[in-house]
Amino acid sequence: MKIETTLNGCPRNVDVRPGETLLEMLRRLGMYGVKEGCGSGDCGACTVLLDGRAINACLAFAAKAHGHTVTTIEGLASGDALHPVQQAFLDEGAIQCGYCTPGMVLSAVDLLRHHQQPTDDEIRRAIAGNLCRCTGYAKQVAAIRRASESESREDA
Amino acid sequence: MAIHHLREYIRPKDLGEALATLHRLGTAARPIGGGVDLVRHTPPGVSTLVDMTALPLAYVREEENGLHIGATTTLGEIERNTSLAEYADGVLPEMLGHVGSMQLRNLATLGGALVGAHPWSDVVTVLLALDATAAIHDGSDHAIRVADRAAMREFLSGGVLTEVLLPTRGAEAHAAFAKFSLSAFDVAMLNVCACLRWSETGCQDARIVVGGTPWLATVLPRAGETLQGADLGADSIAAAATTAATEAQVGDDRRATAEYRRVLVEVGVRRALEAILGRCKGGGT
Repeated sequence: MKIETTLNGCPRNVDVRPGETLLEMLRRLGMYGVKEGCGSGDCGACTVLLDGRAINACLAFAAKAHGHTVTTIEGLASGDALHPVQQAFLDEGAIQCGYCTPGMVLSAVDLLRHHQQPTDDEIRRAIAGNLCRCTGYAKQVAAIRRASESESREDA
Repeated sequence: MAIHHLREYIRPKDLGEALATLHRLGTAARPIGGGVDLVRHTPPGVSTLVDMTALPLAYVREEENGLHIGATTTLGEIERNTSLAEYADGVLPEMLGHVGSMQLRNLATLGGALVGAHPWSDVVTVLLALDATAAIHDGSDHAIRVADRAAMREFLSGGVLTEVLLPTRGAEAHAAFAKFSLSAFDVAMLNVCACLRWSETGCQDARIVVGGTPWLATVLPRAGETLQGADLGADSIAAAATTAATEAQVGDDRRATAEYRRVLVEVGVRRALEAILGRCKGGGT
């Protein structure tokens, strides 16, 4: 079956199988930043934005993307300029093996689009669905706080 | 993982087409909201999915008879809705904060949670406590109390859920939710929701519900009756909690023993009522 979706800002017509997951479709299209971890919606490695909201791509049928906008980590940067959340993760050293990072960044982007000045508690709740088995969470929280502060300065 | 035996994914143009497809294909077709249950396990006999999110059923509307929540409204949208944050102490969004991750809640729908009716469902427990009504369309429209499980089953076998109504009388009620689980994202080994109206003359219309017992949530009428007309305080809360622990049917499963669950019923009811007490009188927890 054919679906029409907007992937990282570009309209796309994609052939999908009825039982295919969004995760499988995105990786088939070369979006390798979308990772498969648990495959059951627990780890958040497959997080993408559907109409700007973070979802587990492993829990969504690919056909769900029809008529909607999907953003993966590949769609965040503008040319060579990283998204402020990506830059903050680099600046804070909030990355170790990197497997959870795309999902973590996208959850943070969803948060900061809807809460410009989140508290640490709100940040922790926003990334509660993204498991990191390397570093713990202090640096990620610091990175998201840093990104929110830099975005606030840009808005001012 | 792809579900290889699925042959067809239908986005109906209207409710009539959705219903006609489901009737034509019988048990081979399933309606889906977010689809989070079926994407993990689609029964072998199911070859067609009918995506109800293609229909305009994602809304929260305030009307004279209460708050209407469309069946395909996601749990995330409900959690963020300002009207629901004020309804019955905001117990519905409060409970949703305990349901999986935000990513899951941005996909899963209210209709999916209610129709799926998992025994551990936190959503069903709270909807029962709020005495919600389900609107089911089978060619005609039917309003069925969520508490009437037999009627829900009967009408859903030939119809589709279109919305849930939270009655006006519940808006001013006080409610609180308590959940016990093995980890933050695990399903409940027991959940509790208490809802009541409180004034200087005492408690009215108390509804105490326990779920994950490990069976689907049920109202505990005797526990609720102990609070009728009573002042809400340590004694009445202890009496309701003790009654609930005696009244609840509990059993064993891999998450907890019946014995442990019975203790959790008492603790959960006490915690929920103490939270309500705090909101009513500025005391308690």
